[in-house]
Amino acid sequence: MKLTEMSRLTRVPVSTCFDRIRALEGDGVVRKHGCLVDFRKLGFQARALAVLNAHNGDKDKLLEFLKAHPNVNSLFRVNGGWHLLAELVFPGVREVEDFFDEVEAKFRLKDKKVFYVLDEFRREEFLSNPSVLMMAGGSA
Amino acid sequence: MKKAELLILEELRSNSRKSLADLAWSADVPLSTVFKTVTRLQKTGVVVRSVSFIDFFLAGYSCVVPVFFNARDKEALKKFLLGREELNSLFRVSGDYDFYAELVFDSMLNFSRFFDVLRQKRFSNGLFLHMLECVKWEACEIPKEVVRNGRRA
Repeated sequence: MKLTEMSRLTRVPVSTCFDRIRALEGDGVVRKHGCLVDFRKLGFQARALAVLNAHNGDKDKLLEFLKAHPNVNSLFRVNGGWHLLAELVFPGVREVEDFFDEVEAKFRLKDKKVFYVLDEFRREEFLSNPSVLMMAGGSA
Repeated sequence: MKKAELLILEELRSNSRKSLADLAWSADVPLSTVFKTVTRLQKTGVVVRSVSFIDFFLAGYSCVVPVFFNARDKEALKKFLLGREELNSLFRVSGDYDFYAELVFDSMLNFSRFFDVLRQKRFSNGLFLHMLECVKWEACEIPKEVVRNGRRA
């Protein structure tokens, strides 16, 4: 969304919108401005979500390995009986299996579950509905 | 896809607010090429849309809940989740569960209220996690090798 459009919806001057975005970036609330990619159109047909639980001695090493791995798109530390949640992007299922063979050879895992993404209905849309901006404008 | 195009895509993924001139400088290609490439990436659907990645914890949303759901009535669960303003992402997945949802709440209390609604609707069967930290976000590397027709060469 352009700043001018944001300004119109919120009834806040463009310069103020700009300053507020800069402040949000400075505070770390906005971590980055990026774009969402359709990986299938780039030849990556296998997208998977994996929950992993490693033995205590290997938790940090596994995290560092996944963080640096080029096919790990997103990585979160979680609780609820699990340690990590990772989103993986690979050319095919065979490469995903090879990846987990490597992970299991390098780290002692207590448990792992892998789920392939079949379809996407919504992605990164929390707080992105323009009607929220309009409500903000209405109450300003 | 040529190497220069992949470089432009990589730049867009790391900062989609970069100007065309900055993209041209980063990828070392003419401005006109950047313009054509960005337009093509958008038109072909390779770039789905631009987003600002928010640190929900710093924004005051202390409870981020990734959930793997399963339900007898999948359509009803999907419809219910898509109608919730707390929903950030929703995917259909294979395996033990039907859906993966990422939900964002400002407090544990509101998550608890949401969970009560799930229970009433008999949708509470799933694997509920709580996010502690985002370590990496939409940052996998796209290889620089030539990609044609969706297949890597």
